Amino acid sequence: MTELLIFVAALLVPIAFGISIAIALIIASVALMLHLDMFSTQVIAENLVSGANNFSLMAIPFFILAGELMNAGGITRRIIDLGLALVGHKRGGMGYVSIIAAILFASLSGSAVADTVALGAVLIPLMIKAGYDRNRATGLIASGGIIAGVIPPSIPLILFGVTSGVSISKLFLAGIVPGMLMGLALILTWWIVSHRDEQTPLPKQNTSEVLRALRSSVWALLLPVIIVGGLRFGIFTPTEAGVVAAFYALLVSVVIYRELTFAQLFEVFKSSARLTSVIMLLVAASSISAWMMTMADIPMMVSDMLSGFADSPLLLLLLINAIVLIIGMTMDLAPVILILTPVLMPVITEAGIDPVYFGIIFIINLGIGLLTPPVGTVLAAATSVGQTTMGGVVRGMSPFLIAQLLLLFLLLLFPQIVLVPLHWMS
Amino acid sequence: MNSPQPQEKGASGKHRLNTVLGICMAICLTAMAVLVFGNVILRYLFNSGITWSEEMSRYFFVFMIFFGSASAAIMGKHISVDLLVRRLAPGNRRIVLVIANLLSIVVLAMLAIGSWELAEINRNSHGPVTGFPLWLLFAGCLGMAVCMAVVACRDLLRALTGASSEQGGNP
Amino acid sequence: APAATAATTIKIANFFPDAHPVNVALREVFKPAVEEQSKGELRVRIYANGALGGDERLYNSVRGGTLEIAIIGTIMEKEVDYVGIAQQPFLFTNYDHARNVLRGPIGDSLVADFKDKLGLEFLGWGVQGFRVIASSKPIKQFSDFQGLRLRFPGIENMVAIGQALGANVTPLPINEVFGALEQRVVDGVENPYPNLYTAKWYELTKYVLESNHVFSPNLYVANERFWNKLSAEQQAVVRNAVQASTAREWELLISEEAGVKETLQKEGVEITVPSEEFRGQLQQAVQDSYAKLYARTPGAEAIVKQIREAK
Ligand code: NA
Ligand code: NA
Repeated sequence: MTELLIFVAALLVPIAFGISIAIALIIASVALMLHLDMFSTQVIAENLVSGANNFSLMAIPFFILAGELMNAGGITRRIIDLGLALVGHKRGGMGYVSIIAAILFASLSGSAVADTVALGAVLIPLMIKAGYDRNRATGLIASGGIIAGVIPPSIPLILFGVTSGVSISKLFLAGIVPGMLMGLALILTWWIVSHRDEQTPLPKQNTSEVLRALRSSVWALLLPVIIVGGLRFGIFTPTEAGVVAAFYALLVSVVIYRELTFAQLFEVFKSSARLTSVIMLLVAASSISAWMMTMADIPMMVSDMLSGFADSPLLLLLLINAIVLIIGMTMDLAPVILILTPVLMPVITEAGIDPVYFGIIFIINLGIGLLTPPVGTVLAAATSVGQTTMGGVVRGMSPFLIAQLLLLFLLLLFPQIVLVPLHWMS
Repeated sequence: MNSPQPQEKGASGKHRLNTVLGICMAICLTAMAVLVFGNVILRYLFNSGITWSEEMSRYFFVFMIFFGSASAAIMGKHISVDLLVRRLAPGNRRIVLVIANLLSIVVLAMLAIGSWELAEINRNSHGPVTGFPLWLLFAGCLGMAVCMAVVACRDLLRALTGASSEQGGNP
Repeated sequence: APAATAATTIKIANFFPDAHPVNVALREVFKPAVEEQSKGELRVRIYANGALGGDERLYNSVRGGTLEIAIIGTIMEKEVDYVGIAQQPFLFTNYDHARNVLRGPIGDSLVADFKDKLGLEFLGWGVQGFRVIASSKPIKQFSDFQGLRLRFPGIENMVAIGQALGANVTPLPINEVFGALEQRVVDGVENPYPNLYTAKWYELTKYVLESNHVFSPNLYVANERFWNKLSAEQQAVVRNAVQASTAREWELLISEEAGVKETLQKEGVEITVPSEEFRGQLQQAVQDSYAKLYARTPGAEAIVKQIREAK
């Protein structure tokens, strides 16, 4: 128990001091080493390097690269245009456009932050022009953004798969339906709240305009088919799916849409690499923490604490989710996955809970954590892209946040919602 | 965030280093993408594969992370929470910034020392398929740690001299 | 920290599942032997199941000293002279042959340079077993290897063996094998029977070719600095405990192999024992491995001869 407290304190105090989370993770690991009287600089370096040296994790830069190529190469814009053509003229239409674009974009991109920024930059100004409240618009985009982590491809699911040993392909397939349901929950909520807002819908587009938008975005819409089909039929591994997506996006941007110059391409590669590095430094630093926590027997401690609930999987899941929700409020997603997964998996397996199902629930829960203060990377990204205040976004977002929480609760009560469609697909 | 106007001599050196890091990052990412994609193509079109592709692409990946982390440190892009620090009174904030940067420098030095030791231990080790000298991985990690520590030293000096603590990266 | 820190803790790690003979022997023989015979001066903590990482990571950790003892394969074969000989194709005729050779003076000569070249104290030879090929498509004759995507470990010699058979070799990391089989990225994997069973690969590969192409040992190695800190009596305690534990490991593995095969067959796995002719073709195909070995390490030829004569 002491070990757990030391770790948590040595992690949270440096974070509160403004130290970057990756370095705070190393500090917390060093604190555990000192406590266990096994200080070693080699443990730090060894785990940092081998934490990064992993083929499965290479799916992350590839999917990030694919996403950035789609933004720079005009694929993202065409998806938004398609949404506008389909439902832009309806009452509250811009909201539905945002949600549909978020779902479509979620099937192309693996990162919630990237999603929020890419869609927010275009859609928030459009929504404000149409008369929507800035905070509500920003809140909607942010809560749509977290769908990207659930619908494949998904960086969080890759991280969970790598740490737990659960098949990433299975996790990807299992994420499709819950991700769609998150979108549906947003649509219902938007339908309720948008009645109260004043707005001016866009003019209705005629059939030929809608068809043109569809034709122009068909290349983008093919990509999720390629990814899911390729994984389902064993054509490539998740890592290879990432690189196929990147090459596909490159091909469409350069050859078909012709919207990418060489200079832009260089920028895209650079920023994708940097974004990946920021995530991967967290991953690598977390693997030092995970190693030290194994040394300190923390997984066993937590197992023992939770073993009383092993008879009631539902109670156990509710308890774990309450804990994850609290941790997710104050921590970034990647370290939480990497540190908690090895701690929680033994309990989950012992209680007979399906690990794929648990992975999906875990990631949805952590996705919600991305929206909540004080540490919420999607919240922060949305605040900056919507040019408003964090408090404002939280207010505008609250109905959507509640909807996502209710959906999570529903999935906890009825695991079949996740498991039955997964069974059909695999 | 970086301030747009180039100040001092350090700024242009920093800029140049960042450009070099950017080129290295882009090369690593391209190389790993080509290797992995090439293997998919070879598997389906020619029913063969490059045996060293998996291992070599991992090494490119690790190096990309070193270059990228150093670059992100220079640009202040590593994920941190400045909510609390920003609310402190200037005096207290300076104290916290000094402590935070000192702590960062200490653990980065530990990382650098550990990397050095492992590079030594692995000076004759090679990747099983590629024959890649493994000490290079730890040397890369050492380089990253030094780079990040230098950034933290700069921020420490700024905090000590009271130069605007608004700018510069997170420690 | 607990008060009794006067005791030295030995962390011993491997990547095998809890139920593997290695870990059964560690729990039932090694740990009690060390703790009792050292009168509580030494404590043992077992990290199974890859809790501290796979082959590569354990090897790095034990060389760096963050781990006291590691149980690993011949991952270091390129850095030393002779240990790679143990994994030459069709070298050992059966388990007794392998056990007698490795646990005798010839075995000692294979690892004689570990201390100087690696900073590792070699403690003993355990066993993973003879490797067989499990695949989703049947391999009934030599030509069936053509175009078959097989996962081999990323070790030069192993990759070369796979290629010599005519297979399309894909050297994936071991923790990606299940997913790759599931997604049919690879058609098969080669490993000893116990690993096929404990890693559940047999669920996806319904054909096994009992090729016994390579024998895989387990190497028990200790960090040298840790080792030198122990008293001579403590060193003897640990060394004897490893001897006893590995002896048990061999017994368990050999006696369980028949049971594992039976279980696999009950699960619908079809096991093919190659005919004399097929076996001859397999042996013929991988002969090059010896030529390459002798070219690289001239002293190896004499050792191979000794091993062949020892049966
Ligand atoms: Na996604
Ligand atoms: Na949060």
